[in-house]
Amino acid sequence: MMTFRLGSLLVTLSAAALLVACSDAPQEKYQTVTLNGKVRMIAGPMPSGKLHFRLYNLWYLEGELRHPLEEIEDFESDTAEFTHTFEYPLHKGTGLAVHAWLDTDGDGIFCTPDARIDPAGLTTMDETPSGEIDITITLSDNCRAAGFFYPPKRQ
Amino acid sequence: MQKLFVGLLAMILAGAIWAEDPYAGIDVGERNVAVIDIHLHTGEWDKMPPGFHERLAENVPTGFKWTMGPISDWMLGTDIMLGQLEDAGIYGGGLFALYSPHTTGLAPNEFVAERVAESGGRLWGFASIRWDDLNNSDEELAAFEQVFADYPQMAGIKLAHAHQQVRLDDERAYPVYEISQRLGKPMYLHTGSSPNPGTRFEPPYSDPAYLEDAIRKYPGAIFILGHTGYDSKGIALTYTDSAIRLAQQYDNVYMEPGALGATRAENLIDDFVVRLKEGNVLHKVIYGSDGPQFPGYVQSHLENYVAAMQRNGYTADEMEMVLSGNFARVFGIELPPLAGAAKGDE
Repeated sequence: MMTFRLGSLLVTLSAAALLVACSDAPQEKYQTVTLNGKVRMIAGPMPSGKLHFRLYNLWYLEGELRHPLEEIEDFESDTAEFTHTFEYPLHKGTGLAVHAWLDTDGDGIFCTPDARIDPAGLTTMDETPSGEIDITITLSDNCRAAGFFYPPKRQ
Repeated sequence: MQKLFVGLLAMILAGAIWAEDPYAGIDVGERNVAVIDIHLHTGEWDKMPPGFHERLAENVPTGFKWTMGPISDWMLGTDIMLGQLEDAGIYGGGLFALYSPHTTGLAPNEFVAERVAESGGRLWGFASIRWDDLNNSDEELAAFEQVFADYPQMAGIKLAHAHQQVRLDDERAYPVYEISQRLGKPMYLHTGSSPNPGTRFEPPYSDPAYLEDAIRKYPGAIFILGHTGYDSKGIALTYTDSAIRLAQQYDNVYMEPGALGATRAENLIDDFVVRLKEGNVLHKVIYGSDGPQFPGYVQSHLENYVAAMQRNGYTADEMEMVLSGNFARVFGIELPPLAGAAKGDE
């Protein structure tokens, strides 16, 4: 009798656990986006070198955990004009940020303590991207990560 | 009210246990030495982001992942943490606040201060600051500084550039170093990488060499290089020599070996302790584990670390420096004499 009750209890608890687990499973949802981009220097001609890009959800999560710049993925380009298609994670947040830096010295590192000549920039859009979008990124500051540019200083 | 009652009861019980069983330290061969673990985490499941939830629950069977919340909250509670320390022979530890919404979540300063207050003097708090809006950080900075006035038991500062997505060479962090210097609160800074999702692992976030300008500019601030540049994502001592060089070169630089005593690093630990000894920087090493992680972790981490020191010819005095002496000196804390120590040893 006792064994039967314990067994029933375990089955019930397991079923409940499964239900909770299934209902709690995050729903991943993606949308294909194509970026048609152009990178330029804030002044003067563009030095040669590989361009490194990182895509972000502009904002992610809610409440206390809400934060800017949640990484989506990285890609590279050898030219200042580029096209890149990616799966935008709708379930992860809103908006889009695209950070770029130019490996001017060709060392593969985004500035070292001594070599600080890799320029960087960021472009953002508040709305959630879809389809094909055109962007321009202006490289304005050396050795600066995305968080240097966004969120910007409040007036 | 219920939390208060449980906390008080735990304190009374803990006090009773310790009163009956005074701290004896751990046996390192020639004698017993005291141990402090500078690197302990607390927190709450609800303040962790989904990516970290997934990592914590990755080995839990489907259908039972929901148990991770209660288990995690239980593991990170003060009583359980103190029990883990006691089982390991550790006198006390540093408890870190955390503002890393991109990676492991939030353990706010006030939350940590409460945990420290209920620890009976066995935990020392490390305050932190939210950095995901660094261009508008005046209010955060003021609130951060106020923490030390409101909670004098906060002994230090915890920063984790790689978790907080801030480059180690970003001078927008310098106001925090200035506060550290002015208030005399040593800083623990995460260096190296981390297997936690979302953590930046590129050199500007991992290599402590990127801190050198700040270390020079704030000679009165103590920089404790967490993990000594250990690349725990790639399981390699990638930036360890970089950390050792800074500790050799600057009086205000120390190192901590958190996670090097974990099973994951078992093939690196001997190389690691030898590099520290040969670098003549043992007076700059402050022991920490990065616990509690799972039941028994702080104990196994300590045992592995002590065994590695013993295998590689550390003296009892050197082990004592690493395990508690350097912490006590840097933080100005006097540890009680060990139970059973001969009078001549006291």
